[in-house]
Amino acid sequence: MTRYIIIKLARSAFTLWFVVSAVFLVLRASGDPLYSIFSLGTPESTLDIYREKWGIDKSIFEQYIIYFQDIFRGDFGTSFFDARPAWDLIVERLPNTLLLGGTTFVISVVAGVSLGAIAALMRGSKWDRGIMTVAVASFSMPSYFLGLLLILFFSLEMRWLPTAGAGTWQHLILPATTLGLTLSGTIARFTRSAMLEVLRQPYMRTARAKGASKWRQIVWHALPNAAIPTVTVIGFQLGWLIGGSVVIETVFSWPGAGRLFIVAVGVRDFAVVQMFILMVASTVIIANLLVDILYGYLDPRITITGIKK
Amino acid sequence: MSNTQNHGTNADHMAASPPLLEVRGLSVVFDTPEGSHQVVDHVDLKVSSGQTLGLVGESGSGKSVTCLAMLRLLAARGRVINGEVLFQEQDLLKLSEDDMTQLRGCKIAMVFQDPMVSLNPVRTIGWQISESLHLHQNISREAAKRRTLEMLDLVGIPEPKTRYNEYPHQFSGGMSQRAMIAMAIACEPKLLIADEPTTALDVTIQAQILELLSQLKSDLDMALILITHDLGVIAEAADEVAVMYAGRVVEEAPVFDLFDNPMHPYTLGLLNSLPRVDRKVDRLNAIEGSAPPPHEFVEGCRFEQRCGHCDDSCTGTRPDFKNIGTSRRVACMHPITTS
Ligand SMILES: Nc1ncnc2c1ncn2[C@@H]1O[C@H](COP(=O)(O)OP(=O)(O)OP(=O)(O)O)[C@@H](O)[C@H]1O
Ligand SMILES: [Mg+2]
Repeated sequence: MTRYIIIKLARSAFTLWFVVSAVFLVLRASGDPLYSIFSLGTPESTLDIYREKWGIDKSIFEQYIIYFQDIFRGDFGTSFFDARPAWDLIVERLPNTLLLGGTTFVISVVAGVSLGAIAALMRGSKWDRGIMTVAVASFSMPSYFLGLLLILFFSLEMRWLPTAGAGTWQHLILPATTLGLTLSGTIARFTRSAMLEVLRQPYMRTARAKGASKWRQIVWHALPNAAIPTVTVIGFQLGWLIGGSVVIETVFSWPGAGRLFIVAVGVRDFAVVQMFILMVASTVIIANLLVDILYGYLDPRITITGIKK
Repeated sequence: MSNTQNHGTNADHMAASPPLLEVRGLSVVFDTPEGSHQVVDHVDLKVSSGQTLGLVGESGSGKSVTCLAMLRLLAARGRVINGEVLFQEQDLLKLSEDDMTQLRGCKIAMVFQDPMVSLNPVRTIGWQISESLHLHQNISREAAKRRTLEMLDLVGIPEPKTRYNEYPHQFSGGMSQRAMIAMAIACEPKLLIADEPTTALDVTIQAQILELLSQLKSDLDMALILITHDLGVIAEAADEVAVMYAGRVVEEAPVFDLFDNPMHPYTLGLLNSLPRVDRKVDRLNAIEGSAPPPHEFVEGCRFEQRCGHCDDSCTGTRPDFKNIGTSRRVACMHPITTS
């Protein structure tokens, strides 16, 4: 058990280190940030002053050492642009990001699981076909495209909802729908197939044979089994959700961390990009750990070490 | 043969009161992508309280499907197209689904063929057995747990307290089989259907389970339908026997008469393939060929191809049942008579 946790943590730490280092190198290899920050024709002597001030005159190796020393001191660097700590910039936008992502995630899980289960239970009916058509359509459509379609119709055509920005619940609807449709579509498809698989298992017949009601069969016998593969998929989708929300925040000008990140990438704002990636990687790692724990809890055949008892 | 003591009373018993369960002309069709096949064809069966009906036949002869159809537990593609299932003089096929749900697990319980996959993998054994109790009895949690522990003990599961909290994957095949039986008899059903309760178990455990079932049968005055393709099990535990072949019942007789004087050539073939201590055989006399699959079922005798007693009359028309005495019948144009 302890051994397992140690291995798991070590592996997570390695993943984090790898991601962070890769981003660090790629950023520095992709060109001098000074040229995207200052206008053309600024004298090199001026640029040199800034290079020295931001520490990017040093060798990559030196910068790398300093970067890690700073991280362990809780200093995630300073934005070239705003001259404020990257930490502050991102953290002040987190509430918006969490509002959009969290709302989407919760609604998608609830809607995806219940629609998927309904489709499985009514297999072959028009409900099943309807739900699955929407699920597959939303899944195969890129989310930015879907977002643009929704903006075209609900904002520009019908003028019901704002196209961009944040502040009211109306602002939340379009971006959350765009993200949520794809997510719940994916979850619904997996829940449906997991549920179909479970429903044809002999133990479901046992439940019928002992006189369990239809409702009881589903809630107490089928769902706990179908939850096992579904939880894994939902866990994986969290990574997708973060990537998707970066795109959607940009499409809908949602003032969240994702949009900040896109802008920062454009101007090579090293500290902000690095901090964002570090945070995303940590989130995904934590989510995977949670899935692991939940998985062991849902499936008695799996011990926490992932080995069949 | 351990419990053959009540053979003499069979006929009287059945004449006196209507049987607990009587199946009449039950036919089941499966709609598969390859077409519709009638896998159970006008099956008649009877069983009375305190009696064991053995249902024998080769794999695929329709034993399980017949019993599933009786409880209306067929897979979605299976449907009953004909027949009556009279239980306590009430046709189960006409009951509402709610009434049927009430009855299942309470008055009629079934032990399934493959216990390892018939238990829910994410629920503890204790949970699954006590669920049966909660479903049909107004019983407190403590009482249900106490009763479940008793049941586990009764079916011979050692250390019931530990086993109560274990999951099916921690149970061996024999233990799962016992747990299934405990679950089925928890509510003291009037009729227990046990589908191959001893297949894949080693001989000692097999004997224990059969012993347990006949014990329960007499303790609870329960009727038992015992499905098997093992005639040894039939000899051990059955009072009456129905032999199934390719979706039909071909012979029905008290166990002693059947072993003593099989009348259907198929029954004879089955008996000849059984190793016997009282007869020296060099090799098992298995019936040549194999039973036809459902899509090759014909209207006439389905055993004809493998039969040594057939002639033209066997083709084309279904052999009717002939009553032999009061207690047995056979569906064959040329039943074997030894006199
Ligand atoms: N769900 C199903 N769909 C289609 N055909 C089925 C289904 N279940 C059973 N059958 C067919 O019905 C026939 C009878 O099957 P059944 O399970 O009753 O045989 P059995 O006598 O119980 O055999 P065994 O000794 O192998 O258990 C077989 O031909 C089988 O292929
Ligand atoms: Mg069977």
